[in-house]
Amino acid sequence: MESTVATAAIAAPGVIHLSVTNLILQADPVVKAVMAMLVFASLWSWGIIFDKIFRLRSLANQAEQFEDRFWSGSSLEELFERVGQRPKDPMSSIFVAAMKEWRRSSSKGGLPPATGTVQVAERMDRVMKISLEREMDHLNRRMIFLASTGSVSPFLGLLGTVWGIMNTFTSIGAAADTSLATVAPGIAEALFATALGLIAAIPAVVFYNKISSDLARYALRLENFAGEFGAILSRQLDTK
Amino acid sequence: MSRDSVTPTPIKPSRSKDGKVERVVTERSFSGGRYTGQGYAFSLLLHGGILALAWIGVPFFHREIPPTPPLIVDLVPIEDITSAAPPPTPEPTPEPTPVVPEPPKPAPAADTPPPDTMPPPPPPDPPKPEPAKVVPPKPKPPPPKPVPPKTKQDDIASLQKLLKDMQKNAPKPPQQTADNKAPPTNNIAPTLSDRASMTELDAIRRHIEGCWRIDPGKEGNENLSAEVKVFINPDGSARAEIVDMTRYFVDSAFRTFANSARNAVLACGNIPISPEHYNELKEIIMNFSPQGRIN
Repeated sequence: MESTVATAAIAAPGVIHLSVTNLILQADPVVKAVMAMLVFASLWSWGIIFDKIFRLRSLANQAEQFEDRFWSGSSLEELFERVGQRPKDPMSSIFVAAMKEWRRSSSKGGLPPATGTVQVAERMDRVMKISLEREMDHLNRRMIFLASTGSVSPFLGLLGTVWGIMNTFTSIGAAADTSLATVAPGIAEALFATALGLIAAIPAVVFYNKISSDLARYALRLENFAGEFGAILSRQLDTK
Repeated sequence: MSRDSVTPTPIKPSRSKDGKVERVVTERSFSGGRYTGQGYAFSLLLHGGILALAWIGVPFFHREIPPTPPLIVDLVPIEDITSAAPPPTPEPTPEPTPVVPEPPKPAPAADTPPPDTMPPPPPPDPPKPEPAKVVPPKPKPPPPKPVPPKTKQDDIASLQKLLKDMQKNAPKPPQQTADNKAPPTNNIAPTLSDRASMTELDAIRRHIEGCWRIDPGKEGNENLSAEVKVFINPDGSARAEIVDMTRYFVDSAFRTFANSARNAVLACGNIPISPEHYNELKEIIMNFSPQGRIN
């Protein structure tokens, strides 16, 4: 008839604080290196993201202003004088390139009447195309880093996690102890690498898509402008 | 040959003032520095902010784990109820690890006691009146087993004591090895919870068993067993329902037996039911079997 009362307190999980700083500081060197790379990738890609976003916004504003002036009805020569030799934005730089070519052709004087006009118009189209491509090439710089961050950093994080879990298993083997207290910190710290990888990758992918579609739209806008300007110039040549 | 004789018109690209070939499209100096610098500054700020938050501690990283209330378990030694083998360690401190050597024990123990329990009752009754009066030396045979005024329960208890002693001597070696192994593994939880869950129910069973009056020797009883659904009220009283009502009406032996079981439940008060487990235990199906045991 003896009955015993046992107080079975569920073993309180020790004093392991899984704070972010602890997770980083306790990690294995390889995992630390992976984490450092991921943090750097995140830093860099966010730098690119901010850079591109600010730039695209200001480019859109500048294009707006330039188009306003261009279509305002004032003479193109006047606009050319105003924009000057150092165009500030891609659209005005396309305009300047075409105007320069126009001036160069017309300053040579006697354009052969029939064949000449076609050739001048063609040449100006080509010049505008070159200018546009150069501008777009410049704008597209470093976008590739965003793309590769988005695709590679999850793998990098996974590498850190796999490495960390391997270490955890080794330590389980060494301690011959499978209690949660032995296993949990190692796994938490390993998984933190994957978390970092995803944290770096997700914004990179999202903003890569956003920025590249914005860039494509801007390129289309430039192309349209170049096309319209070319049409205006060739009509001018015909009427001459 | 003729190609050589024709002198091609020399290409004379227009030259700028310094004599170099003039670019058709003037190179533009891209002044991207402003936004690039700004972008990286913002990026640094963002990461610094996140790191600072992590350092200070974002609220959700420190979600408090609600303290689990200590689970108070009434560890009823199993042998009291089922008359199965006692756990190898009779010490009051519940050792979780001995479970390992336990399994082999119950089998032989469970087999041996029933035959033993049946014989003892008869001997005490006839000899008691005679040896006490007539011959003093005669009591000698009884002493090894029980002391004269014994009920059935005492017999069982003493037998169990014997069994305990036997097992205390026998299984020590394996037990110690188990104890040596125990400290490194912290996995107490499974074995402890196994015990806890069965013992509360066992306490109730034992309590009802105490109220049960049954004649185990009645003819036909050995094949009977009655399932009774027990509804326990919060105050410890209970009501009972016999599950197999068809047999109840058909089989008179079963009816007697089942009635005794039901009466046991009805007669019992103060059933030890803990309020926190009330909902799990308020409806139990108990299997009353002969030999005065409830499963």
